[in-house]
Amino acid sequence: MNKHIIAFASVTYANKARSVFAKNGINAVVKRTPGTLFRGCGFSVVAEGRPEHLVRIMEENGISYKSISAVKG
Amino acid sequence: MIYFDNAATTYPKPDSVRRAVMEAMVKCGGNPGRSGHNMSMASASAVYSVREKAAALFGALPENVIFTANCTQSVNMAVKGLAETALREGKPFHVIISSLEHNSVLRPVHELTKRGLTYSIAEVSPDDEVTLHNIESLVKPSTKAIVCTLGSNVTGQLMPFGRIGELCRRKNLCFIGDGAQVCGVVPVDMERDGINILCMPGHKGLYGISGTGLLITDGKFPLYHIIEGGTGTTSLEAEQTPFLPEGLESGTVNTVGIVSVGAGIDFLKSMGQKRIHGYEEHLCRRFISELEKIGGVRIYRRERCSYLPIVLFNVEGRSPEETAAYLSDSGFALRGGLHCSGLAHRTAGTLPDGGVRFAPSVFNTEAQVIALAKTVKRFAESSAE
Repeated sequence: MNKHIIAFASVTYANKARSVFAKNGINAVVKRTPGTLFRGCGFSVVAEGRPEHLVRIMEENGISYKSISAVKG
Repeated sequence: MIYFDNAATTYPKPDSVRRAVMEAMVKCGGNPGRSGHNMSMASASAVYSVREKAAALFGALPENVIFTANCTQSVNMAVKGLAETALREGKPFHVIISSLEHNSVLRPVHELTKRGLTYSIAEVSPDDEVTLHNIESLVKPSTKAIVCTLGSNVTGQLMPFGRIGELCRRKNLCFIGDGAQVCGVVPVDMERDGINILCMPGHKGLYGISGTGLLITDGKFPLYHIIEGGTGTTSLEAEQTPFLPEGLESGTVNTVGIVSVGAGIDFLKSMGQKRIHGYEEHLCRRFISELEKIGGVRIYRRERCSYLPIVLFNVEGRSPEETAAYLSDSGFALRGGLHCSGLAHRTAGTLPDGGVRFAPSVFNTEAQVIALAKTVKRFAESSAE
């Protein structure tokens, strides 16, 4: 299964995404955003699924995000 | 001690709340939204789950639930945050408050008069139509908000808040509701009731521990921050974080307290808000019927009004402080005096000394209420001698 890391402006939005993904049967974990993605504080969600599906769920629930990228390896 | 001071803070807390607090002390010790280690993440997850619970209970979005230290802080953030931009630009800013307000509303509003805000006080009548007319007659072009209690902490009189919300919608005013006594006791839905910003304590009707409060916004009226600092985000910027909830939550939040509020909401839902309210109302009716048999006791309730489970009374010839002290010495906890609400006591006609407030909870029994009434009777009879 593809894993994607989605970066958010705050831990609240990261947890909202995790909660919404869980309600849609998607495994997701909140992590600190790696410094290689953004400088400054931030939180991300690592979620399993196709990126367009993840983005659609977030858009339907009014969750804005900063970036989404595939997790390598 | 038999506790009837639940309008000040609910006691005892449900066992489930106590257990949740103990568990949070162990599992949620990390700082939520700051670090990346597991305990910080567990704290952040726990805090977010309470945002979800509060949002569901009051008809809001989780990210619009802001945790504060108490209802007074929430009201200050709402009133001052709403007025800040206009006052800074020297624009007129008029608000309407009611004659039942606690000092948590009156004082921040009054304080802002030093910066140019103006306010009017609408007299609250036993007749909701008259109250609504009194409020609407005070609206003028510079009016930006109605800030009022949803139910009095002194007499328990419920305000027609859904209709005040309608008025605010019609006039495009911001409705800031002080839900200190109402939230958790009577159903409140921000969308249905037209409340733009809802302020509440976490430690009263939501059964959390003290040091907890909530400010919930529908996002239609932006609030300027009145406290700046670390938010765990936008850390390279000198400007305050511009989005919610973090923008209004500078500094470390009270994780254990927030978890206690979540457990309190769970308790409320499992017991049933309507059932709890019905039982507390039953205790109030029983108390009133017992007091009515006693000579020299005055009860401050008016016909046509709806009430929260609060009964204000006085024993003739005795100050409320004396009555409350006698009851305390006899093993009963009630609050006598002005309840930080001079305006409301003026409206109730109980100045200068105030009254004695009976506020039961779901944990009280009818036998306790009867025992209290007997003690009041003894005190009233001794006062008449």
